[in-house]
Amino acid sequence: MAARRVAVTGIGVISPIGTSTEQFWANCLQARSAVSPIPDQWRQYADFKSSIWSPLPEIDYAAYGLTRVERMQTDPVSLIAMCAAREAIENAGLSISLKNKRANTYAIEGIDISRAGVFMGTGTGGVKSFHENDAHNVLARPKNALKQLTQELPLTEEQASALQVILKRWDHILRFNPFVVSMLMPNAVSAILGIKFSISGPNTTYAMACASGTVSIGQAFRAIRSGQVDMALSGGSEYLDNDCGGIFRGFDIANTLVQDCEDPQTANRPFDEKRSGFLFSQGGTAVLVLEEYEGARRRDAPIIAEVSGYAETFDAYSMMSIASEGAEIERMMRLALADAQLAPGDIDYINAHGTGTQLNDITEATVIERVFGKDVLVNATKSLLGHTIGASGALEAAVTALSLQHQTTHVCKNLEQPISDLDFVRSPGPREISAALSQSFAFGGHNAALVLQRAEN
Amino acid sequence: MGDQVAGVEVQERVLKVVKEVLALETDTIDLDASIMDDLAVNSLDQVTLFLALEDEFNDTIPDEELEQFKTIKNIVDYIKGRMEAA
Repeated sequence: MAARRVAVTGIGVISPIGTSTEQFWANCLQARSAVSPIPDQWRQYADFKSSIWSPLPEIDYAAYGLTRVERMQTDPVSLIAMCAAREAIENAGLSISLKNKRANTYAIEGIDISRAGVFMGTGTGGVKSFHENDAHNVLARPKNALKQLTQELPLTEEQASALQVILKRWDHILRFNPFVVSMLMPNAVSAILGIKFSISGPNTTYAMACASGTVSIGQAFRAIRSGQVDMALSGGSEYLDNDCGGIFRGFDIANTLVQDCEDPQTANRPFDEKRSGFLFSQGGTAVLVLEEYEGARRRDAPIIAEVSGYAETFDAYSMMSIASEGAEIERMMRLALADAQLAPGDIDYINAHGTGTQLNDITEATVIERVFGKDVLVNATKSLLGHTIGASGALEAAVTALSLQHQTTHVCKNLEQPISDLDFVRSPGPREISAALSQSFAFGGHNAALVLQRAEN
Repeated sequence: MGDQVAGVEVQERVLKVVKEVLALETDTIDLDASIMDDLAVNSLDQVTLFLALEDEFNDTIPDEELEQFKTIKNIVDYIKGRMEAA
């Protein structure tokens, strides 16, 4: 019996440069990015070394059919995943029908729900909900007490005004949300998709920081190839924003973020000599519909690309730094190639992890050259989006699949003085891309890579 | 806006939220109906309903107040009272 193959049949995207796959891909090819100064209000709470980020556009959840109740009971990390999943399902040519009006849940028509799964990644889950409810818990009563005291004390006008400034900074939501536990738990990201689209096979959330999205798609690929399921929603989602900038501060204080912010539009420079760290993104998500290849073909699904290999390794070295020799990255690349039954020379394009940090980029470029030589095309989607952490691997897998479909890919933006002689993408012209690799490395030491190939005509 | 007009508006907005949260098809909801029994609301639905009402009226209803709401009319009267006191 021939081995089961795996097709990508649908993609859904919410990103800083597009809230649909079509808009996202068009903006990728035009090398658009969305760099802005960090919100002024964050500076009330701390000083920051980095001063720019890559925010998401405003998202009209109602336009995706999400109700007020869903918006109140669900963290944005899961809301955006629901939006992208719906787009991916529709783009895969699958129909949905309303199953439960009160719960606003749907059923995907024509699938065996017990043989479908959800495999999603997130670095931090519903961290916004955690932060804002914890702020309420800590601040609400002391704030009321201080307000009361302010009224009772004989304060000068100046003192009263200074106290008002402090009180205003003790900002918190109006009520402690009764649904906070189900909003903040990381597994909400995959659970909500299983509930929303009535999928009852394996439902798993992978939390491997920056590799989460790649791992999730890889595990979905394995589940379909092994026969465990026939169809999967897979990808990653991240939403890293809170009103006081504490999440940004965590990355900023660790000196991981882009430092040279004088010209915000060129500050984010993966693989450039002048790179100074990664551009923090507010978040994003990509959801891919993966299906067993022959089944997808039988139902005339649009086959965007084929996933043909996957591998993971672990550095066992440091929580926050990749091992400079890149031995486990190289082993991962070779394992992924072997899994896809390809040789290094078969790979035409690599969507690199490419964060823009000193150590990542030089290590990654060195290992790519060691394994693939200098002729393979290389770009970094993070040069456009910044770093969306747990969503990045999924967004990059989406770019890789779209590059295979359209036989072109986006430039490595702001690359003026490359750190190596690799064939970095400098113009978005036509390319011949038959096979590609998309890879991610994560805090903790997780390495993961997907091999994707061009769909047969 | 007169008190009477404001009262009618509050009632309409409360009914809109009740229909939205409970996905009720009917156009008429008995204001004296028991929330828990007649509208088949469980405790999770009840919490959801009050969250949606808070969102609608941009106000918070203290947890200790929730016990008193047995009917839709109780809710309408409570919110009218809050608006008048504000």
